[in-house]
Amino acid sequence: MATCSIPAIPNKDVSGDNLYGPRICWQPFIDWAWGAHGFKKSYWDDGFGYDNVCNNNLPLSRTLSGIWLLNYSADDYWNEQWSNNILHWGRRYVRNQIDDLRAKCGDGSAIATAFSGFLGIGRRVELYLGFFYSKNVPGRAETLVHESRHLGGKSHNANFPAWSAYGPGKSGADSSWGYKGAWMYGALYLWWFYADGRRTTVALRESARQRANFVIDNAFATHPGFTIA
Amino acid sequence: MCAASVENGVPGADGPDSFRLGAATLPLRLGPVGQLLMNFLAAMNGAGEDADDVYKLALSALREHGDEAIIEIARLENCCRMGDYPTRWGLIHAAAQLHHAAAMPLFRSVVLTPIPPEASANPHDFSTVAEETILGTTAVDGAAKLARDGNKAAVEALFDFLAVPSISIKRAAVQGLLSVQQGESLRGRIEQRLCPEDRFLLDIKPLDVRKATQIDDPEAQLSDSGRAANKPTTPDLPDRTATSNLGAAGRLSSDGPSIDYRGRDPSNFKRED
Repeated sequence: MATCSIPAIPNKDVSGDNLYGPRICWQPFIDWAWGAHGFKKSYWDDGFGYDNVCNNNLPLSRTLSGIWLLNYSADDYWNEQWSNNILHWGRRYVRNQIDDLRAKCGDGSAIATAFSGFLGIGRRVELYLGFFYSKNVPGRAETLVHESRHLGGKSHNANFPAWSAYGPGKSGADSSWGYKGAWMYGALYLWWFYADGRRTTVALRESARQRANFVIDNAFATHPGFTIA
Repeated sequence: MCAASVENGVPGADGPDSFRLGAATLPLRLGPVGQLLMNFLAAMNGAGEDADDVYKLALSALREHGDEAIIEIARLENCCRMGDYPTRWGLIHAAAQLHHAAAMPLFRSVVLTPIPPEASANPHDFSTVAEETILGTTAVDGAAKLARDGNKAAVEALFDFLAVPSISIKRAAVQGLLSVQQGESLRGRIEQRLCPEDRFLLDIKPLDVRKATQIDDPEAQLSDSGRAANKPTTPDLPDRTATSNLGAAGRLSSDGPSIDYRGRDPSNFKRED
């Protein structure tokens, strides 16, 4: 068993936790999110927030904030038809894919890992300290979309290009935007959130634009040829 | 997260872990302008019916101290832990929102200071270079705003940014230059400043998300178990619950956490939907 802590929490206005934290402090939402994403008590207690779910300093509240954003950022959030855009159905894709969601320490910087259920390792998504404290709320939603795409069966299929900040020639890129892999899903979600996200702030939408543009520039072996206007 | 403390942490290892909260916030000494800056950061990320008015008031108050505000932003950004990317991003974004020429030295410093080598063992998962680059592109966009207002120093800075060894910084600088008045006339000069392998950046088009390739049939992209999943949809927000029964949530679990209202002031948990 690992034990971890963090030295200080980023400014919660800027990360969005002061906006979304109070919103998740709502028992019907907690009950729904807990069951729909397969939270397991044994992985969310012992300091991770089970006993203090409304405390936005703790991992559980910060995770639920990402889930809240994922679920209520479309104007007509109740319309989650697959024929709509990802701002609408992203939440449905995530909850259908994730059955077991666990909080873990990781190595201190790691964000998340999806385990597809092969090689004797149970199918699950693990979230680490980086998810709770290095990502702002839109970034947490993006991570859930990205990992869900991996659970949907799409691995990365290329090496990062010569110009990539992720490390030229290293594995982990998607070949193209048209491959429709995890990088595309995450960037497209952020892009829609920037363009049409509701119940949020201009600053968080702008942070989503910056992050999506970074992914578009660096995560595809062939540059998609566009940038977010 | 470079200063996080982890004992025996291995992603994928079996069994639950344990977490202990450190200091809740960084202790900062703030003068009057620093307090105005904190108010602005809060207003920038606020919600509710009066959010716009609160934001405009906070921005106006901070703009009255433009030069000092930029110095305070630079000081606080410098005080942040290197790994506190959300706060650092918020400060640089705030400098851009000020729309003040005094921010140019800060933008130049953020963009032109070499990005430290990758500190993450697994950059695909989390990349310090990525986070630093996003700070840089935010500063480039701040300079581009000033350039669009005719600030010549900002235009020259954008040209200087073309030499930074980062595709995203260069892309943002190219887009910034092309967006100024008569920016198309700068293409030749931009091309000269870019090395041949980066000149494709001149062909990159700003796009509206509605015109980008979407995911045609997302349901088909689910795993078999994902397609078979039949989970209740999200609970309606209270303002919609009053008028509709659509989307009513089911209570899936009896072992989830409960809100402990004891000793809690309900007004602190007012929701702004």
